[in-house]
Amino acid sequence: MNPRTRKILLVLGALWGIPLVAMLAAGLWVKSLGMVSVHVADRRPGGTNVNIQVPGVLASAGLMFLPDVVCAEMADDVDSHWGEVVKAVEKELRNCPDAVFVQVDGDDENVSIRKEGKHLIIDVDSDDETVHLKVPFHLVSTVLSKIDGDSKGIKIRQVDGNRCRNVTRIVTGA
Amino acid sequence: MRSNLLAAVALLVLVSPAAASDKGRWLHIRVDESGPGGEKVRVNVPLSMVESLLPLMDDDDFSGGRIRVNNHDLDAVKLRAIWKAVREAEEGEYVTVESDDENVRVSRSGQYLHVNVDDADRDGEDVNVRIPTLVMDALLSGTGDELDLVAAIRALGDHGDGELIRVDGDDENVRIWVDASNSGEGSTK
Repeated sequence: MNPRTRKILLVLGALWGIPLVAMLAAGLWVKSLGMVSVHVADRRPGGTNVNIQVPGVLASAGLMFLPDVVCAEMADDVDSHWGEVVKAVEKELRNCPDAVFVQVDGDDENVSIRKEGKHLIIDVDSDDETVHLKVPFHLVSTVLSKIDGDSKGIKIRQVDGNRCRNVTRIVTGA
Repeated sequence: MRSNLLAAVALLVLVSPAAASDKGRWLHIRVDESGPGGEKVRVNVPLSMVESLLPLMDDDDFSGGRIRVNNHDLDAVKLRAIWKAVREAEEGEYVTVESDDENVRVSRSGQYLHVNVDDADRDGEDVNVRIPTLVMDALLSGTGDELDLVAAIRALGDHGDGELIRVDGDDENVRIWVDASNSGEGSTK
């Protein structure tokens, strides 16, 4: 092989190789962040089936586009105290090995809550429906951080009938 | 130099699981209902999770991992005094109540406080509670009308493996125990 051909092959290799490695790395990164999986099968006549599979990274990215007003409403709905509880649970889940935390085997319903790798999995299997929920831990903290971050600052509230809503937020940077 | 490094790595490998298992105790709860359609419940929770979550629970009589008992029939101050007397007394049976319905025995032996309730009814439930004395010490280490649950959980983790509660009944069997396994399977203690 003459030097010129070798150079051309090297350039071509680099042109193919770099995007290939980048794609491989991106794929591994997406895989490492896990998948959000929701599966609901309603066994009753006319029941609806729901099947959602979203990469965790996509769900995290989607949160960035969530309007502040929505986050503010979520912050109102989620008691900050329970936010702390969820964060503590998430931290403990990260550190503990895979396990079945709750398993209920009944005549008409089976429930299972367990940890597998980076996912918390909830399965409910009853006569009427089957529910399967698989959520990566990091998503829980991402959601809470987003809500927490957006709920900081001064809230100007508008009384809307009997309901109090956040309509404007001035972030003080504190 | 190389052999020293290998020895250090070997030591780390040997010591790490022991240290990890010492810290990683789990609380297990088993409920087995008998009869057709009886439910089976299995709960496995790391004690460290219980320890970190308890201080976050907040209720009228429960906050910061401490429970206030004086609003109820139980008096924490009296309970502390009774426990002090039990601790200082010799091991043995302290309370025995025998009736037509049930027999109750409270005793201390070794490192444990035992409470046994035997139902006289053939179909009744027999309850056996075995609490490590260190856990009782920790539970009653709170001040005033408070019981320190977090300290009790920490003491439970430090104490080691063992059964805490067993209820054998005609309708259901309940078992609560602590060990280093995350599944609770295979434990016969």
